[in-house]
Amino acid sequence: MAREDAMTRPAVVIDNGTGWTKMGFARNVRPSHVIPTCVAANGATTSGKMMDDLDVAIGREAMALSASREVRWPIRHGTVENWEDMERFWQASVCRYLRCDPEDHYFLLTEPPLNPPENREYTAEIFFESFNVPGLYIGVQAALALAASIASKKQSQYASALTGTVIDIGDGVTHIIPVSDGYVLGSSIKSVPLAGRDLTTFVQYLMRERGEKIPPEDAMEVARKVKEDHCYVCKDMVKEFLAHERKPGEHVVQINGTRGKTGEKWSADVGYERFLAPEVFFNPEIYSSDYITPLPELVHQAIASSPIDTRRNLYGNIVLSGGSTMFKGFGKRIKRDVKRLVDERIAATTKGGTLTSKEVDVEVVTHNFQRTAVWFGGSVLASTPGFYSSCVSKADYEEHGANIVRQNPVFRGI
Amino acid sequence: MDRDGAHGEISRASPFIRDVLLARVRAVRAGDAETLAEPLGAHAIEFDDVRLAASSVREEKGKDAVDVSVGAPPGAMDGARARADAEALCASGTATRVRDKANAGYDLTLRVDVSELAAMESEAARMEVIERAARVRSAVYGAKLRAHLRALGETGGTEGALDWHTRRPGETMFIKPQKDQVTVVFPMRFEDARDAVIATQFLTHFAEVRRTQKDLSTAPAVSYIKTPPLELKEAPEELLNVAATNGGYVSFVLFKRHVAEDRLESTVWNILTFHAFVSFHIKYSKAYWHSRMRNKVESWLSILKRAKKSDPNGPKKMTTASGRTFVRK
Ligand SMILES: Nc1ncnc2c1ncn2[C@@H]1O[C@H](COP(=O)(O)OP(=O)(O)OP(=O)(O)O)[C@@H](O)[C@H]1O
Ligand SMILES: [Mg+2]
Repeated sequence: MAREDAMTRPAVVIDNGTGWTKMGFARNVRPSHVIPTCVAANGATTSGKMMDDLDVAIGREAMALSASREVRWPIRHGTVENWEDMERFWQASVCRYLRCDPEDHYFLLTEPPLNPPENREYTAEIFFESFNVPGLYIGVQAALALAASIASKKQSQYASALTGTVIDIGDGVTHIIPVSDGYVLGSSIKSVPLAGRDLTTFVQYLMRERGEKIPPEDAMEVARKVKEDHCYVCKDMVKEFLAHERKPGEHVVQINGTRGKTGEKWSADVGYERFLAPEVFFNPEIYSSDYITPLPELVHQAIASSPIDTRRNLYGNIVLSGGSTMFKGFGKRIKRDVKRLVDERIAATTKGGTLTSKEVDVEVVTHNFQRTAVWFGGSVLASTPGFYSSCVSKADYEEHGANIVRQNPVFRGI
Repeated sequence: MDRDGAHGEISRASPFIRDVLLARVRAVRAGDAETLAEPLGAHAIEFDDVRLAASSVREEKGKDAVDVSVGAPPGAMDGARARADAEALCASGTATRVRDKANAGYDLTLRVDVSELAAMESEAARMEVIERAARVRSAVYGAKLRAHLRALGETGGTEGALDWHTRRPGETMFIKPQKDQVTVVFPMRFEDARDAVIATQFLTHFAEVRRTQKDLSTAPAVSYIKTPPLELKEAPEELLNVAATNGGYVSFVLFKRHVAEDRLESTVWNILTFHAFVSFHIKYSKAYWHSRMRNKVESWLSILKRAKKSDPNGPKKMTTASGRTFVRK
């Protein structure tokens, strides 16, 4: 039996990403906690002490234990791969961070587009059977990000159609997802396993190659900070390069740190990597030989393969989501490059003919909470009156079993 | 979070309050005008239906303050005492004060002067102020139990009438002052019948470990029985609600040594959160069993896979502990 008054309380909203988990309660603008999606379990579970199964650290505490325990990341490229660790992670999230009675709340979780239905079943099992939640909703990240952008633009117009193209670039995966009226256009989705973590690696590589003296044990963290604080998207890679060559003083920033082990001070220069790292999205061949289609091209392809009557709206509402879309200049560059591709295409199809096609508007929506857009969209959705009835309830689950969650209901009423 | 949190203990400071205050202090210290310009209005709900809220207040220009409020279901708050305890345990000079009137909808509000916190030189002193504020629910809702335990410390324990603290409607913690001791009784109720079964095993084990392990001999005595203990004979029937108590009765016997000044607060908190502790533990152990089961299913499936060609029935239906079925390919 689930508590009957659960609908009177705000739902719990959790967005588990490859790198970061955002969690909190519906009706908030920001999640209560944002922590790394990692687990450090005590390997020795056979000592027989009764509390051993509780000895699991997650998030930053898990990372702090990396010297003595194996730290594992249960999500890869957006998809859960290790269910044991994922379940432990959820446990600790609910019992130690949110500290709520899961019986008391409906839960909204997120999933990447094209998540296998088995994964939804596993998730439902864990939430209904271990946690006894009264109701569960699993929302597609892109659709939630779209809902977030609508909610942030005009508070009063939640009802406007959920149509647009979401570019979601997090830590582990890049997705381009056209959404029409709340329906994810599955066959038009583009995805590349190249995202924030790769940019961090790239920054680290560039700095090491140049011989910057950063303590190796901190190199990854330093590279991430450099990326988040100093990188930007330039207009033109070659011109930017020349500008850096000509006036390094204007472009190079110095960073300082202290080595944890020895207390030694170090400093390093940050130069070309400032624009080269995000350039990976626009000229992927500088980093990878496997994925070489530039992001604007993928956006263009995704939209061009969507039903013809949706395309104008999809070009006109390109929404950014995920931490790795937060580089300065990112939205502008996408807009310019996609616009160029569209114009070229129009020029090519109308060439020689007398028909002139109407110009296509390309708009890229940026806002100041791209990092938590998916979570915020979940919070907005879970605050609408229709939310509780679009959830799978515990009673539904008991009656039909886990396959009740195989289909993903599209939410209305936003 | 404190390291002992990792062993299933519930930390006295609320991570929600702590993180909200820390983020705000960080923003002030970094001069992050964008974050500060956005009015703060965060809320959360913790176990036992305790509501927490943090909202920014602009008393005067250039000064940033945050109101931290707590609210619980009706009956949980023991007014005057709770205020006095919050004053003693959570306030810190001019940095944190208990407001005369709680914000609407809540039982008690602390006003935390974030600007003052941000200006503090010592990181440790700043953390201490935050930590004290983050422990507000223990101060407020532990007031009644604390009063009984203080009396035990002062008088050494005298017989008194049965008292109780309502955690949430229908869930009561009984407090019985006796000669030399205070006995606290929890009728254990679980929403889910399967949880009640696991709880019964866990609690039996829990009481046994307390009895048999030497290094626990200074911990309060625990007993676990299926029917209401003698201490509850004066309890009003509607509060006792024997029919709804599907997990038995846990009693803690507390002596003077458990309420010495340096132990009082952790005793209050550990007793107060006992039900949540058990209920979280049940969720953990179910997770543990599920993963064991999944491993079994998986190894069984790999055998099946090897034999697949000869298996005419295709994928098998699996059954989980509670009888759910799922199909794996
Ligand atoms: N200001 C910033 N500028 C650039 N990158 C950033 C910024 N802030 C965070 N990031 C990067 O964004 C990534 C995290 O983004 P996000 O939280 O959206 O990912 P995720 O949800 O964990 O992953 P995914 O959606 O791929 O499963 C990290 O790689 C992080 O370094
Ligand atoms: Mg994400």
